[in-house]
Amino acid sequence: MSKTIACFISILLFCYSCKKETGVPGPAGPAGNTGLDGSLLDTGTISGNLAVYDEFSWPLADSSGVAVSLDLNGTPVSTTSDHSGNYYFHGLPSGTYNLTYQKPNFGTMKVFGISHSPGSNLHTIVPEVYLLQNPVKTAVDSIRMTDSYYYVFLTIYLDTSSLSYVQFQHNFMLLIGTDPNPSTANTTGSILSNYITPDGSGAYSLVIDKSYLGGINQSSGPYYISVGTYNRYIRAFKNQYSLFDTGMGGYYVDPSDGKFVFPNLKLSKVITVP
Amino acid sequence: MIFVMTLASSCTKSAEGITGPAGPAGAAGRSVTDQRSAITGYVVLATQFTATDSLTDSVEVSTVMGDSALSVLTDKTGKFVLPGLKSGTYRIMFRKAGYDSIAINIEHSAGNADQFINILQIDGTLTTRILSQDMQILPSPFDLVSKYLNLNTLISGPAITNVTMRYMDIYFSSSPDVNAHNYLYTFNTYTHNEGTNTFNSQIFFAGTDINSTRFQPGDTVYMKSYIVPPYSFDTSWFDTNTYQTVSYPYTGDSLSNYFIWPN
Repeated sequence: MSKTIACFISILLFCYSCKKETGVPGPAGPAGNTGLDGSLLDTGTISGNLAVYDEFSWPLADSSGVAVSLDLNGTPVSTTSDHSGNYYFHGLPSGTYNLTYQKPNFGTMKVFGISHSPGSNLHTIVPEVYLLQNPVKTAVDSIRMTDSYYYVFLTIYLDTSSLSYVQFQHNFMLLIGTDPNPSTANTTGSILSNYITPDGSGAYSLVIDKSYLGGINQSSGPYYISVGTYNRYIRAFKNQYSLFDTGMGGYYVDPSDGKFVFPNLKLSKVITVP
Repeated sequence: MIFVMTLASSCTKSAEGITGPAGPAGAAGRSVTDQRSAITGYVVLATQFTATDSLTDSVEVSTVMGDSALSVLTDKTGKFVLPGLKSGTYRIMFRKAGYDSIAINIEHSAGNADQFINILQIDGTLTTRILSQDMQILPSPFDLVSKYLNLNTLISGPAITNVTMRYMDIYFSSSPDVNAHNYLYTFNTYTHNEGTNTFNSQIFFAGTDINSTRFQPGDTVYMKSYIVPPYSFDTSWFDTNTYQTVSYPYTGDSLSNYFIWPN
């Protein structure tokens, strides 16, 4: 009997609690997580090969130690080249990438606009990049100027410890301008390196026709001259199948102004033509 | 009784209310095709003699995205920006009156960065005509055995000087259908008398691909000469309409000719 009563009470209690359960529903749950970024669904590898050249324009056997970096949606991502000069960025989502190549004492190179569309197992290959050492022994040490009525004669001396070395004429850059600090930005069309000739005793000579100074506008002087070396005319390919053009290496075009950037150009002190 | 108590206490717990409905769906993730960025670069104009031209602006740069045609002009620095392009492959066309028109195909993955395609050079349209061409086959003065072709080609003005330079490409074949894509041997020349309208070319048969292993005495050697600009970047492009690579710089006027292989 007592069992029956207990059962009855428990059913009553149960019914009572069930009534409570039919109360007001709680508030809606929080919103679900944002869907996956579509560009992250497929990722793939960007890879490339680079070569490193010393200041005498010979390739180094070891191409390792070049820091290669790119920007991934505001986060810098970086890797390092291996001995063969290969580098890899794994797991990159679809997008357009700009790459920067840095090594201490070498000109910093940049590659713009690598289009990366993952989807297959093929890498996106970055065109070959050459890093050139900044001139030290091959830098212009001093310039002597002889000023005549029609001509300016320049004698250019490199570091005397490199007398056995003959610099390519194409590795010189001459800047002439009316700005006291001539640079590639403020002197256009003043690259006359073809006319620089070695004199056979470690110096290099150049004759400038004064009528050329000031270019088309023939503005009055004084003019400011600087001669630099940038060692972009190389002596040997690292990769025998290289598509690299010896005359075209060691620079890039700056997207912001369309001008050539020579990252390892080292200019001399400025001399003034009155 | 313990059973009753347990039941009662479990009922109290569930009496806190029932779970509310599921929240709304989260925001959609960013679509790949919604990422847009620009394709940008520079156009350098040259004359038909490939001297750098001071007029560098107002080249029409156009492309098509979906059903939309986009067109921009280069500024005075030669820069163009085709903004807001979704990922895809684009044909970008470059056009300016008096200059060659070219097109390039660019694969664009959009994303956060613009795609910079460096510098393109476009030359003025070649207007030079080949007026006439005469030739003689003469014994080589070097070995008195082999022969050479002495070719004089008269072209329209202006006279050939350092600043109005043109080159000439000559193609040779055993086929009458000789052209820049169908030939046995090609010869590029700019030898001329400064200030005249005549190219003078001496083409020696010995050691070239037009020698007696290719031709027997009495065979006809077909040739075609083209005017070409002297200095230009190779900007050859693939034409998806014809499925052929179009060589750029373009060749100018051409002239067909032939000679009989000598004894």
